[in-house]
Amino acid sequence: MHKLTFFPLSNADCCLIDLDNGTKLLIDYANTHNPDDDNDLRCDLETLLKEDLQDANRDSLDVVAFTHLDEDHYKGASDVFWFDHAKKYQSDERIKIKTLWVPAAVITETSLDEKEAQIIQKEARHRLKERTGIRVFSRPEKLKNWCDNNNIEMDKISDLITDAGQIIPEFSFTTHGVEFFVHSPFAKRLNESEVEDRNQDSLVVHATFRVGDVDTRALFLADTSHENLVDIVTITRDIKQRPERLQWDIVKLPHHCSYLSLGPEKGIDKTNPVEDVAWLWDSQGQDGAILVSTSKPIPKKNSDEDKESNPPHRQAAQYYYDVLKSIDGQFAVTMEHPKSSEPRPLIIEISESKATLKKTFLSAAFVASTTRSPRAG
Amino acid sequence: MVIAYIEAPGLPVDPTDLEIPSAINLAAALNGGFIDYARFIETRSLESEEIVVFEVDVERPQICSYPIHSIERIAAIFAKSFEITPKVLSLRKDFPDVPHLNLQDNEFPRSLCLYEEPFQNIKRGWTAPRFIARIRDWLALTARGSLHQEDQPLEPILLDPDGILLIPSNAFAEGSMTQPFRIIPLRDTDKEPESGKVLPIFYTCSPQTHGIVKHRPKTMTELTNLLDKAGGDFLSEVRNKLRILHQNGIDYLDSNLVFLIGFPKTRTPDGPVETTEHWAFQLRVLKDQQHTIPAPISFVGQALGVWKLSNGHPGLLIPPDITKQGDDIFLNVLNPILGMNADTLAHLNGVNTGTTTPTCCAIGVGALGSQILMNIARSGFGKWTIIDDDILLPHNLARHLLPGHFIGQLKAHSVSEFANSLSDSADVFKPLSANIFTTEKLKPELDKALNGADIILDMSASVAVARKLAHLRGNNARRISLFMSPSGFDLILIAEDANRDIRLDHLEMQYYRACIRDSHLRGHLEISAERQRYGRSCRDLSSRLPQNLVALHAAIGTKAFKDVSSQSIPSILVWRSQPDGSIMRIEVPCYNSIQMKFPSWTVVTDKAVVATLQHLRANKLPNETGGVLIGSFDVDQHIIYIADTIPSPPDSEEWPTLYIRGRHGLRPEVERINTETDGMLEYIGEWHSHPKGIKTLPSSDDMLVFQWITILMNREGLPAVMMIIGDQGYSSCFVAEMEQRENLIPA
Repeated sequence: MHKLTFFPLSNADCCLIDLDNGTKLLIDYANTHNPDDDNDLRCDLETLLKEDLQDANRDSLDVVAFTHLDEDHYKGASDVFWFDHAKKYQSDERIKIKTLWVPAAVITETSLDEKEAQIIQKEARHRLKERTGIRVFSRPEKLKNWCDNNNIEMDKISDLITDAGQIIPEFSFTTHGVEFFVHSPFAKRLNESEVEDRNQDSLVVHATFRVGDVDTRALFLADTSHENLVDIVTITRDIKQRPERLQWDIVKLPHHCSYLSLGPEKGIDKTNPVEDVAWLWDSQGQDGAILVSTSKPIPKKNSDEDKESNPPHRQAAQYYYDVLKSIDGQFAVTMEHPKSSEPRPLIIEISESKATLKKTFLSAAFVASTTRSPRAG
Repeated sequence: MVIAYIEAPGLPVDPTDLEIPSAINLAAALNGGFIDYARFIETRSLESEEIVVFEVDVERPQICSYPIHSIERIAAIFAKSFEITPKVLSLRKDFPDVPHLNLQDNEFPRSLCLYEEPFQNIKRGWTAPRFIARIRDWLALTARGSLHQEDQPLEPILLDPDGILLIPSNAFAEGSMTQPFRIIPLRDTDKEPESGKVLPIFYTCSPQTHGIVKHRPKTMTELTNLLDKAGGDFLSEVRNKLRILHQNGIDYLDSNLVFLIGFPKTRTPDGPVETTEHWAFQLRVLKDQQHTIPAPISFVGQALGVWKLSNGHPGLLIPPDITKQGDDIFLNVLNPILGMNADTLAHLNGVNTGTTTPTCCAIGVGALGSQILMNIARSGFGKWTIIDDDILLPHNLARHLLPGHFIGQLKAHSVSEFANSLSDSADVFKPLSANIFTTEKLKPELDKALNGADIILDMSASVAVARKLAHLRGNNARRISLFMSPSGFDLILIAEDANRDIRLDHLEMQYYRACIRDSHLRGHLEISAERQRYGRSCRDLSSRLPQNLVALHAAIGTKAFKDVSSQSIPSILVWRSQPDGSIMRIEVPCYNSIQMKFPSWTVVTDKAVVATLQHLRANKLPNETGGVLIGSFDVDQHIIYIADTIPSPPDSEEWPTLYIRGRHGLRPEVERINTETDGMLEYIGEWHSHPKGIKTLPSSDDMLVFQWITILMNREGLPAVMMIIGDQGYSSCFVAEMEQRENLIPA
């Protein structure tokens, strides 16, 4: 049995993947929790993650992927992870990363303003120079300039680079019960000097989990825009003719349920997706599939939140609801699960019965014995 | 997709108009949003029942074994008496046919069979949130197809028989039968069995997937439909057999006809036949508007168009009148049981000595109880009332004292008769066919027997009975329990002291504490013996264990009971039989109990618990320390038992003025305790210590901890428990509501 855990972090991402063989992968890490606010409903990701490792008697994650360097995908990473490039990020309570996954933009980007993003970039560059503990996603040529400038021979790092359309080599059905297929970043633009667009260059993977002879397919769509999704669909479906790599049983919806991941217009009550995006949602969902919006609760019509321009957008959510109706699927929002007044990590188990959204009754004994008590005087 | 629902029974009422406490609790918890994955819909009322309707979210995989929806609408029906399991109905019109549904008169709305145990055993832990959790669990397991485990026997086709058809053991052998077929009624057991000759007709229907027959045929027409659905022509078969009877002679006309039908069962629609289940149907005819009597064959033949009666004589119709389908024939469902061969019993050679030592009540004369009583009878100890409302069934003979000719009779009467036959006095053993939970009409006799007793010996093997005895007021007889561990390998005796200072339930908790602390008792409560199902009902669980173990325990138990009776001190004794034949005796120390009464709850603990907490505190001074409390909630009796603690986990923070209880290693330890005690001990709350000379009043931080515990326990509809341990003699316990005063433990 494999397990996915999505954490209630408001509009921010983190998914822990526990493979049946004990391997742990993390896709993004954004601890948005405010420890000074007792009423903050967002979970304390650092504590939960460390407790999870403690329970497994581990001090490391096998893989940590940063899909792109926006704050809602890395916030707090410099406080929690052990980084090889500088002593000050090395202490026993930090979580070690066996392999770091980043899109090439994380290595090459030159306009990073945020300090924490720069730290992650330094770590990624350090690992690439050391040729250890890293996998970079890109067309190899994209890294050429940077390698030349840093006196690194391209062919010596070629085994650390995975291009779109490839399977990530460390994982297979036989060794891990899973295959990761890379959709993005891919080389579409011809003009290499164009300014890099982070969302467009972010890491998008399609995972196929195999239990027995049953496959469950999950799409991790980062913050993909509708333009970017159209590219992914047309390349995979039409050019490469690999439509099975777009089938979905579980989707981490793009960009916290933003309408812009569906189409250019929000719509009044429902967003209309552009044609190729509609194809992905209308025809590739499997019976009983689960869509996960890593976001705040979906706003009610005419509420203050509804008037905001930021996601989640109820019009996009309405589109996804309707998609799910025809396949008897489930829509889950991280900050609404199980209820918006008390969100808890959202767990999806993957077995021979495919995906199950867990709705566990948490007994008092379970909660008490897995959490620390408040301070007694 | 529009989902159609059946209207729940009764008429809508306002939740504030409800009167039944469990219905009120459930409606309030749902309305208050205390229960995750469940939403209130409405409350209704019907004569003496109250109904709460709600929706639950079901944990359902993409690939389901049965089409359970991710949202299901449910009605819970509560009776005035909390002795009866609440009925749980699925209101969805097309809720599928699945295993573990209750058999009802109508197929819809379907009724979920939630509990395998009698409700007496459930209700002391019953809270509204746990009830909803159980319903959601049932639905989730059903969706996955794992409610019925692969290795479990196939689900019985029909449930809840009206009686037993006792088939002579040589019924299928060559030659003549020595004994006739007999019918033993299971309802109204005090009524005389209906006499008359019984004649069976055998029929085997086409294979059925297990768990597929979900309503009980009450008439001939319904039975025919049921059988023909599986393929076949049942009526033609019956008519043929009746015609053959007619051709063979006349001696059958007054006999009562019984169909004995084999249902071959498969696990999956195309799977192989794994077992064939047999059910019998007694044909009956209306006597008046309410009552039926056994239908004679003469009547049946006419009702099925085989013959026409003239002057009581059947005239065969050729061809038979197939328009007559037996519409006026009613059915009783019987569970057919094959009788045992002649049993061998030990020669009786003891003669009683006729002394009149203590007056005793024995509750429960099953395998162990009957054998202990017979040992006691032979030694002439005491004057006894035997309380049991069970009847002897063939499978009991494997271990019960009574021989086969008592089958179908009340155990209490038969054991008394047998025991009295050993003495020259006919009334040393008196039977009372009663049940301490449900007997209404025998209440005076029951009270009289219990009130007149010096000792009540509980051999019921039921925690519910032992608890009921512990709390029963109006008599001060010393309570002693004798029972076997679930595996059958161990015997346990728990005896109150003669003054009843330490009650049976208090000692029970000390016994569980020993189970988790004493390494000699490791695995003691594990269920290792295969559980054998007999009969046809979920409740009929009977452990498969050899008679030699029962005999061994009966011998030890008899001596121990007599020894303990002659002393006045409390006792907890365990005998563990070893594979090599040796016996290990473990004496569990007994401690004086401590009781504290709060407005809505009573806390029960003992000196050992308080001493342990004080010891843990002293070891950590000047720092504070703490931990979690282990015990049990009896929701029915409103008692909180504090039995033990798990000391401060290693990642806790312990300072002179603050304590934060860590979590490392806690979950596995809580689980271990739960497993080792078969679920009897669980997490119940928190404790921490205060420094030297500091009162055990709650500080403002402590108030927040208490609030945290309150929210935590509310998840399960349980109260918060927090203890603060101070200097010797200064320890407090707070329950349910925080008070701004020290609640000192009367130690």
